This record gives sequence, C-alpha cells and structure tokens, in this order.
Amino acid sequence: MPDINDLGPQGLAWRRVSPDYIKVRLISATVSTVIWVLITGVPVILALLSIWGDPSDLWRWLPPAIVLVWGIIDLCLIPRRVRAIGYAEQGTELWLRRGIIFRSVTVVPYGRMQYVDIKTGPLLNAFGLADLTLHTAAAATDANLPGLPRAEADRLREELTRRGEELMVGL
Amino acid sequence: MSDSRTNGPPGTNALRPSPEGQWLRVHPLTPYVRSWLLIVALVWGVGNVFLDDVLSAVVYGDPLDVDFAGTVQLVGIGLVAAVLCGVVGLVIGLGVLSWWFTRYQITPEHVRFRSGAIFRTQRQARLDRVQGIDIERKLLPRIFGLASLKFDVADGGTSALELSYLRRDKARELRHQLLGAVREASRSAPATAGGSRDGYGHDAARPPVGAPAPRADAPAPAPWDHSPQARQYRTARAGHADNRGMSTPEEGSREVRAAARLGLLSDQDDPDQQRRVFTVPTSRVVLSLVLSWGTVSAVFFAAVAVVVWWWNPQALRVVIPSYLPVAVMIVSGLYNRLESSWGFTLSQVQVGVRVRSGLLNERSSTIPVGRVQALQVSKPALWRVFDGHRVKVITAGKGGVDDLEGLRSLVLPVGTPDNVADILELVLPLAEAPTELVRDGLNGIDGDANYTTSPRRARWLDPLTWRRTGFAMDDAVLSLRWGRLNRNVSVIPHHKTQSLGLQQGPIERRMRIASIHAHMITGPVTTAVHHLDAQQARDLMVRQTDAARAARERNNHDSARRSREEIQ
Repeated sequence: MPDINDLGPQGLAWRRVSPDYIKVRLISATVSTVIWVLITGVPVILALLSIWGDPSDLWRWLPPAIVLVWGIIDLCLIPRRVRAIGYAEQGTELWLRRGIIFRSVTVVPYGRMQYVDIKTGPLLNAFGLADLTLHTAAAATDANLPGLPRAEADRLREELTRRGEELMVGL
Repeated sequence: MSDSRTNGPPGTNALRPSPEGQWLRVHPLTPYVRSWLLIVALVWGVGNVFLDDVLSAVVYGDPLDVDFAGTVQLVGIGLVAAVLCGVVGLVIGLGVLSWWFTRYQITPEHVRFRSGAIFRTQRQARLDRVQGIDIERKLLPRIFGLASLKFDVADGGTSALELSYLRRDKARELRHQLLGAVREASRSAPATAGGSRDGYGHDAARPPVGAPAPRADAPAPAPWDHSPQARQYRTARAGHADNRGMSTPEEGSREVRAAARLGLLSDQDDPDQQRRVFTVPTSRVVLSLVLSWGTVSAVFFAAVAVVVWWWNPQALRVVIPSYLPVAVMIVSGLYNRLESSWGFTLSQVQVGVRVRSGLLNERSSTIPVGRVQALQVSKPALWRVFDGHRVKVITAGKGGVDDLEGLRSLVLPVGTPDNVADILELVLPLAEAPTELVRDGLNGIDGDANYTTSPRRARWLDPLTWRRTGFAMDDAVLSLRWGRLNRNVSVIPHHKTQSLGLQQGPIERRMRIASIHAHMITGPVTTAVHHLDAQQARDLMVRQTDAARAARERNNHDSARRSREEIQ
C-alpha cells in the first residue's frame, strides 16, 4: 500500500498532531458508542425489565449489535486516523493532510487566510489541546487541524497571522 | 419634492458636499407600487362585493343594497359612497404615511436608506465599498416610469442596499453622480487626506500630442479608444515603463493593458461611458429556449398525453391534473431563462462590463473585471446544433445564494464562439485571453498539447467522459474541462485561487487516480476535476501552488507600483 505521503509533494516535513489527541478521540468515540448502544438498545432493556416483549427476539439485539461493532471498528481506526493528520509549513503555504480511507491534501497560501480560529472544549482542555481552523474566502477550504498542543496552536496562530499579513493579497 | 442636490449640472462627477442629515424622499408612488399585490387583492375584493350591486342599481334602477355576506347591509347611495371613500382614503393614507417615513440620505461617505413608520429599519452602505450601482426596472414600476437603484457592496451580505423607487431619469442621473462619488470615496480612502486628490492627477491636462512620455498619473484613454492619441499614449506608456527598468516592453504593455482594463489608469473618463460589445439576437434566444430540456420534456409530456388520449380518452382526466406541477415547473424555468436572456446586452465600461437584460423586468448589473474569480463556458448537448455557448462567472462581492443563477453571474446566456472570445478578452482579469485553452477545452478530446486527461484505467468509473475529463495549465490560469455531451470548461486565474485540495477515496486509490479541487469564492462555476492520474494530480498541485504564488507576487508587485505612482 502506498504511503500517505504519496499525495503530497516529496520532501515535505510533515508534522503530526499531538499523540494525546488519540486519547481524546478514543474517549469521545467510546462515550458516543455507549450512548448510541443504549439508545438503540431500548427495546432490549425494556424486554429485560419485562416491561415490553420477549428478550429472546433476535431483532431487538440487532441494532445495538450493529452499533457496537461499528463503534469498535471506529475505535480501532482512530489511532491510524489521528496519525494520518499532518501539516507542513512552507515558505508561503501551509500544507495539510488527513484521512486513511478517504484521503485529502490541502494547500493554503498564507496570503489567502482571512482568519485563524482556535477552539477548545473541556475534554481537549484536560489534555492541553486545541483545534485550529483556517478560513479563506472560499467556503470549500476545509483546513482544520484538530488536537494540537495548546502552545503549538498558539505559536501556529501567531505565525500564520504574521505571515498572512506579510503576504496579504486582495480578492 | 424639490431636490437640488441630485440635480447638479451634468458633467460634475463628484457629489456636491451636502449637509449631513439631509434626508430625501423617494417617489410618492413607491408604497403603492411596492404593495401592488395587496391593492389588487383589495380592489378585487371590493369590486366583487360592490360592482354587481352597483351595476344593477345603475342599469336597472334598483334600490342600492350592498350585502356583505349577510352580516352587514349598506342601503342607499350615500352610505355606499362613504364606505368606498373610506377604504380608498385609508389606502392612500397608509401609503402617504409609509412614503413619509421612507427616506434616503447621501453623504460623501455613505448611502443610507430608512423606512418604516413604527418598526424602523435603516440600511447603509459605505461609498468606498460600493462595487457597482445598477438600475433595476421591474414591470410595474416601469409602467409608472420608475426605477430602483441597487448598490453592490463589497463587504455586503446577501441583500444589497436598494433605493426604490425614483423617477427613471432621476435614478439614472443619481446613479451617474453616485458613481463619481464612489470613485472619489474609494480613492481618498486608502491615501492620506488631501494628498490623494492632487496626487491622482485630477487637474492634470491630457498630454499634448507629441509629448515624449506622459506623466504616470495622466488620464489614460479608454481601452476601446483607438484614436491616434490613445495609441500613442499606450506606446508611450509602455516605453515609459521600460525606461524605468520595471519590465520588458511586452510586460509593460501587458500591465498597461490590464491596468487600463481594470479602470485603474483612466480618471477623467465618464464612469458610465459604454461601448456595446454585443446583443443577443431574439432569434437565438428563442432557439436556445426551444432547444432546452424544458421544451424537450414539455414535448415528451405532451406526446404521452396524446398517446393516452388515443388509447383511452377517459384516462386524460387523471393525466392532465397530474401534469400541473410539472407544467408549472417547466414554464417558470423557461420564463426565468427567457427573462435573463431576452435582449441581453454586454457593454464595456470603465471598471469592467455591464450586462443588461429582461423582457418584463429589466435588470442591469456591473461586473468589475478585477473581481472576477473564475469563468465557466458550457456548451449544452442540444445547443451544439447551432453552436451555442453559455458563460458564467464568479464575482467577489456578488454573493447571495439566491443570486447564483441570476443575472449577475451570467455574462452570456447564449452566444456564438465569437461572443465567447470577446468575453474572454473583456471579463477575465488577465493580460492574455486564454482563447486557445477554452477552444481546446470545449472541442478537444483525449490528451493533446494543452490538456492532460484521465488515464485509460479511469474508464471503469467514468465510461463516457474519461477522454474529455482533463486539465491544462499555463502561467496565468488553470483550466479544467469535462463532459462529453454537455461540454464544459472552466478557467481559473492563478492569482484568484484561494486554496487547493486533492482528494482520493478508497476505490480511487486502488485505481491510482485522484481528484483536484480549486477552492474559490462560492459561485456557479465548477472548479473541481475528478479521476486524474494520482501522480499527475500531485504534480499539478505542486505546479499550481508555485504558479499561484508567482501570480500573486506579480499582482502584488503591480498594485504596489500602482500605489507608488498614485502617491507621486
């Protein structure tokens, strides 16, 4: 199988996001899997509490089982998926890559950036991480770097803003 | 209502300074024209109730006796007249009230529009952000000789500021003067106060014939001006740039051409000065509508109805009503197309092009060349009979999803290859029109000198069009082409691309192909091409990134030089 670097230009120094981000994604994926299993498992629970129906019905077990299997596959893929997220700063552009099954590489010129967003939530905060999103005038630009260490995110924001101002171009 | 400010002598471009806070009113008929539907409904309702009884009273001499559905009875001519007068008076009164509170104000910096008696709304637009002022004439206002002014604002959201309604000649005059004010405002905005006016060569006389080199800030002739002076100006200008060691003669003339086309050099020319480039003849409009999917499906449905009728006339009673929604859809679609292509005229103005069209609702719109982001030429399958083309553009600041298919993005509803060539020359913010790329993009098949197409293995995903799907690139533009029956080509200037993406799904990866997407400002132009060889797509990405960087630098360099010249 060809390497992920196949899509980007050769000789680019890709940097990965924080390995802690794997934990964040694992935790949130686990939580959402549990919640979905519970929601789809309502008929099973009702049957087990002998409120409604018979627990030996196969159809009652099918939806939560599918959700569970899907969730486990998802959990197994998360480490690879996070490791596939990368970025590389070049002289005038920022390169971003992501995805293992559906892969994409995006190149954003610094001079095109309109603003840089940093977002963080309670879970990300607990690991000292932040999400960084670049916005250009095009809505299609999907330049999102999740799970950067806080200090790195701040540095990147400062750096991107500085270079953006230097290389600013009109529409 | 007298209004001395907007009736300045012709030829003065700048709006005379006006005291802040002077509010002007729109045309008194405005509220009635705006709420014409309501008035029609009222007239209909009143007429329904009264007319019958009144007519019978007049004709047969019956006693007048108006019956409101049995609840209220009006007897006698006086009472009926009183009620009628009351209703009419109320309508007029509400209209006058609404008119009284609808005002606009034009200061050297802003245009403001205020309306509403109880719930007041005020909108404003900064004049230095105004991209264009368009006159819109819808059917009903047109009957009353009214028009509205629409302001395109660069930082604007979805809805533009609209001044409605003014008398038509007044709207035209106001537009003319406002354009002058807009240029004044946008000029003085970036430069320091005071310096800009003199620095821009307002008072600089035209260069005398035979002058060796005109001043850098002397007024340029319009790009379409082919008089000897204009030609001499251009040569002198090119040589001038050369002397300064800025660029080679070709580059100089290229830059001058581009700058002249962007309206950055000329100063004293009338901003409204137009040169008509083409008008789409009515016969071609009709032909384009006949050869459209709307007509084809209408014919198909009619044929089905005929067959059904022949088979069993009774069944028509079911079939015909079920056609109604489809018929409405087809007719409204065709009508929209008719409206946007009827009498379509493209003219060249100083900042770019101006398009005008409309059968019942006439609209016009200005497209500043410097803000055009991308262009797409399409050749629908049915139009290949008469070699018809459609051209759309993305223009920054002409946003609004509702406008995507509207007039503002359409620069050619149906036209000949010659029209397309004219448009490529006039609309794109490029020095060299990419005529060859577009021609090959529309007619070429398989890889050739310019285009690189999908690899043969992509035929499993793209059995019909893989030989057409492709891209071409030169120093200035990236060009994408696709579609076998409906042929399309889009042209994306490098210095207008925002970012670039490369995508690959699992099947594409197995087949070693990938898709490229140039991210642009939202608009009706497709800027993605699928199923390219992965290696070629990757190379394209790197090359495009380099070319876009170079194009941006070139552009920045140009604009820096221009601002230097302005300050001198």
